[in-house]
Amino acid sequence: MSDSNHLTAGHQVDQHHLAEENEKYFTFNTVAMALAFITMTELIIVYLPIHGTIVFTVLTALSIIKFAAVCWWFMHLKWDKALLTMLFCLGLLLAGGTVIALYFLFQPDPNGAPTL
Amino acid sequence: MSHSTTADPLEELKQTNTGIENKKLAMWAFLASDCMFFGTLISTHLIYRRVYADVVDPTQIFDIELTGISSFVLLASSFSMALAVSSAHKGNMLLTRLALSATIFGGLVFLGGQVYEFSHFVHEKGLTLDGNIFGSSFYLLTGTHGTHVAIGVLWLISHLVHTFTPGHGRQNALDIESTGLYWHFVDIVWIVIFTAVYLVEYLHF
Repeated sequence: MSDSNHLTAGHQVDQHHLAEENEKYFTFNTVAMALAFITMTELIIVYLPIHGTIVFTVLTALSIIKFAAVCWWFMHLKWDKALLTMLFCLGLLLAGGTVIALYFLFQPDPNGAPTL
Repeated sequence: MSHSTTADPLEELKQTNTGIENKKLAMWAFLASDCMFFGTLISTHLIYRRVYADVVDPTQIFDIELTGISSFVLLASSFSMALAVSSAHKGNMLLTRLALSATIFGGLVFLGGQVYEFSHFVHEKGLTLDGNIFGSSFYLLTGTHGTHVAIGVLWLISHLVHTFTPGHGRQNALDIESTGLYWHFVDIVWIVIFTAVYLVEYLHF
């Protein structure tokens, strides 16, 4: 991974930067394994004879964990400036708020669904 | 990066008011706005699914095993994308090319799975875009995501080709990182779609 023979364009990377990037490799590996395990768990859990509300809660929690893990580690938010996290969270907040507001705004009609 | 003896081209890009590279900041702003775009599409699907609950039984249509495998592949491609970005930052172009190729392969497998899924739904299950409200919102949502994946694949191919041009090196790492952000975003949107559109249908309340 750290083989400097592959370096191109004459830009020598300092050792501190290399060590930092090598450390990230192991982090990415662990996160990828965890994500695969969580996805497998999600697929299994929907077939288990457990009440839907419990499964739904677990699925939501697992999805949030996967979502956050990709953002935090794969998208480098852990190592980048907090401004980027705030910027993305602002978008997420607006999107999440819109989804929740619309979902509860349009309730099913007790007299049956409107004709299309 | 104070250990550098020569000017680091990547550090020079951070000489902005925010201390963040302009390209990266612009990409994050775009992704934040794309959240709202997918938010409206997901809410549209969920609302129609609730209001017109009896139109169709999705469990009779979906092939959750295939979609599960597609999700695995997309997550794996996110891992290879992270490696591509890391390798580009190290200036290791060989590993960058390998990781980019693996990501492109993952994206193509995902797209292939989606094409097969759509084809199967239309021809075998009779779920068409204009057949019922479920088909309309489902194809619109997953099709828009698929289009994002297709754009990402084309973008990655352009980077892969670019790595073979003379003078390409560590100084181009930010371009690959920006594309990586887009690719990971496509992945996190799928995490939401996979749960909210597919898995939830298999629950018994």
